[in-house]
Amino acid sequence: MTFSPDLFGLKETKKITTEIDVVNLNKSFGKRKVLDNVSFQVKKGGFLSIFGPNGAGKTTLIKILSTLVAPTSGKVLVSGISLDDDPTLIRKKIGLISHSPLLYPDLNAYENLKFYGTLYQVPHLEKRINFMLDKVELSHRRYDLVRTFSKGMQQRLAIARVLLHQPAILFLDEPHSGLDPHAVDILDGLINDIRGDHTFVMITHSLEKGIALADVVMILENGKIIFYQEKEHLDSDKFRKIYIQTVKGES
Amino acid sequence: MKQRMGLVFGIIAGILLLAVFYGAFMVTPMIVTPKAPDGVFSQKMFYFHVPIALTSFVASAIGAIAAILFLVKKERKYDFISYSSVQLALLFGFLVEWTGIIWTRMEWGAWWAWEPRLTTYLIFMLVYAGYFVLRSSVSDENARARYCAVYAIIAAINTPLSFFSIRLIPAVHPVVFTTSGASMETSMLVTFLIGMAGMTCLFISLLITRTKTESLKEEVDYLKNIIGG
Amino acid sequence: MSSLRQIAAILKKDIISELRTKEMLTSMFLFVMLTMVIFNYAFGADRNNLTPFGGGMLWITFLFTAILGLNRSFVHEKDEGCLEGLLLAPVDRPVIYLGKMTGNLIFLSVIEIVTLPIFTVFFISHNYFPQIGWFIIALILSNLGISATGTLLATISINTKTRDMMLPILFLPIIIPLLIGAVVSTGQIMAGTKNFESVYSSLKFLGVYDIIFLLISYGLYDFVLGE
Ligand SMILES: Nc1ncnc2c1ncn2[C@@H]1O[C@H](COP(=O)(O)OP(=O)(O)OP(=O)(O)O)[C@@H](O)[C@H]1O
Ligand SMILES: [Mg+2]
Repeated sequence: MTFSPDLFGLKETKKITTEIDVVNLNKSFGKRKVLDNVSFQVKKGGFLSIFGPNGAGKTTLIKILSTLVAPTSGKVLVSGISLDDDPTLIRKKIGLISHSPLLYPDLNAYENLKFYGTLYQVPHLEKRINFMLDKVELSHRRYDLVRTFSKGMQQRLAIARVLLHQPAILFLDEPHSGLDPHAVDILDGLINDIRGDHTFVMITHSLEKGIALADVVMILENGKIIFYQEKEHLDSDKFRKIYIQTVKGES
Repeated sequence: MKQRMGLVFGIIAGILLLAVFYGAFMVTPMIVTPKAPDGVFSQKMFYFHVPIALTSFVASAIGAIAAILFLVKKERKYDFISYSSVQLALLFGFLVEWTGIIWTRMEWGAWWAWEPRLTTYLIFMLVYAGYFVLRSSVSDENARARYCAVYAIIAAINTPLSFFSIRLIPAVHPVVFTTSGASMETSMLVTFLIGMAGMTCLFISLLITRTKTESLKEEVDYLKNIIGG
Repeated sequence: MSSLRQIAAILKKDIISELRTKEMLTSMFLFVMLTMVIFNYAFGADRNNLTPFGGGMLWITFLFTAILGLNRSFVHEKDEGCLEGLLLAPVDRPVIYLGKMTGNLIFLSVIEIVTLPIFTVFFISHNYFPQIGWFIIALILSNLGISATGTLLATISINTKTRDMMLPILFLPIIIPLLIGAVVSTGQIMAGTKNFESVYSSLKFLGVYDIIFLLISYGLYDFVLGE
């Protein structure tokens, strides 16, 4: 069964300011089609959780939204700006937590944040760095090389790096992976702190986490949106059934 | 329409090149030098060698211009044109080298003498060989087209630079086909110009067909993908 | 102004990492030393006979060590996924180019400064110290061209399937003209030429090459980043 986004009354949400607008997005790597005519919107302040089996194209979708990968065809507006028009302006407004922490292993925590802060031209950088290091509870390790950090600590520092320039839109690609329960709480706390006036797109393999945080849930399979629903109308039994089917590869 | 244009240019090229053969061997006089009173037969190569050489430069320039157009307009067809033109640049470059080597062999009895222009062409071929290695090792079409466009531009600019740089070397090397001094007879000039026109038509014809083939390949891939191949 | 600060940040980050690990400088230095030893045995002659070939030997060594450094500087970024971090940042692409290019230029120059005296003692019998000014100009112009072209092509290479294997194939043919200029100018100076004409024309050529390739790379860098 396929669901077209319009079935869920998306047309009406267009009146509300949309922060992310994707229309007929396609992406192929060589002969492999990774995203197939994907269309959806995320409204300002919304939280979209994306589920789907490995290789569904979730990371590719987020990479396109964050200007890292060029789409093969289709229209993508982030914060009202088209990807081709002014990617630099989009980059100012977004933050991405990806599979890898994007940190330099031979720099210490402070130097890493300082480097990215300078690139983003963050005002009052020193204060901001201290604040973020406190938030992710890494202040005591600030002068240690990132090479010596555990994976979870690197992930926490990555969170600090992403929030450093106070992006309005956050893309989170499996942000909870590698975090211990306490760090998960830190991350969820940070997310809840800034919810509302920030827009989130999160990829996750954890049903509980994804549903708990989301306004809208989406399942991507083989590059197609096979499920898309707002949480208030969510038929969670049906959702679970479809999700379990897709990840088991039985659909 | 385009396909027919390719054929038309191909036929014209064929006729003109036959005319060059006739002109070179039947009409134009033998060049006589004090060293070779019977005439320099190998000079006949001039009517083929130089037009091919100039055409290969044209091919390299068109490869770069199409590359710039691709980067600006992002339309796939310019990538195909650039790629096809670069293929032809390499092909014509190879022919230049080959005719040049035959000439050096006949004149100096050596297969290779580091003659400046032939050396330029050796570098030319090495540069464009790199293009094909690059092309085959990027899987994403968009990225491949972009990288190759950038490289095609650099490669075209590199050609005149390597031409000049070889002249910086103080040692004196022999030069193929010096036309300075020797005034060309009308028959020679006409034959040369026909050769030039013939090679240009051949290039245009090949360029059209190659570009067409490349875009057909793309279409086939696309259709295969839709079917779910 | 802000882009200057961004360029400086990229440069500073590369220098700090390098000073900490010394990976790149060590391998570049050892490479130069090994090449010089091999030269000695390959030519098996004393330095009086080798002086005329000084320019060629010098630039074979420096060019290949430059390739080593260029590859290292991008493999590093790519492996830790940091290139992505750079691409995500709201910096104009030429800023990334200038930052990386300056770093490569500095590392290459450092290696040259350290190894040039050794090279001279090993292979050059003529005292070219009176012409050291011209020699340094030739060195700077050559390094600039190598870094300008090399940074652009190394960025392309790192995004291909064969990654660092690709750089020599793309880079060497493109750098031949500059290499000839570099060999002629430095070689003539080291051999103590009386006729400075060819040195001047080589230097002019190097300058032209640098300007052309700096402009092109600066303009085209946008297109070689990202997938
Ligand atoms: N650079 C690339 N070149 C070629 N193919 C790619 C590239 N990046 C991704 N792919 C392919 O695209 C498909 C989707 O990959 P993607 O990383 O988006 O999946 P995902 O949904 O994030 O999976 P996971 O849950 O494992 O993270 C895969 O088949 C992958 O092989
Ligand atoms: Mg993924």
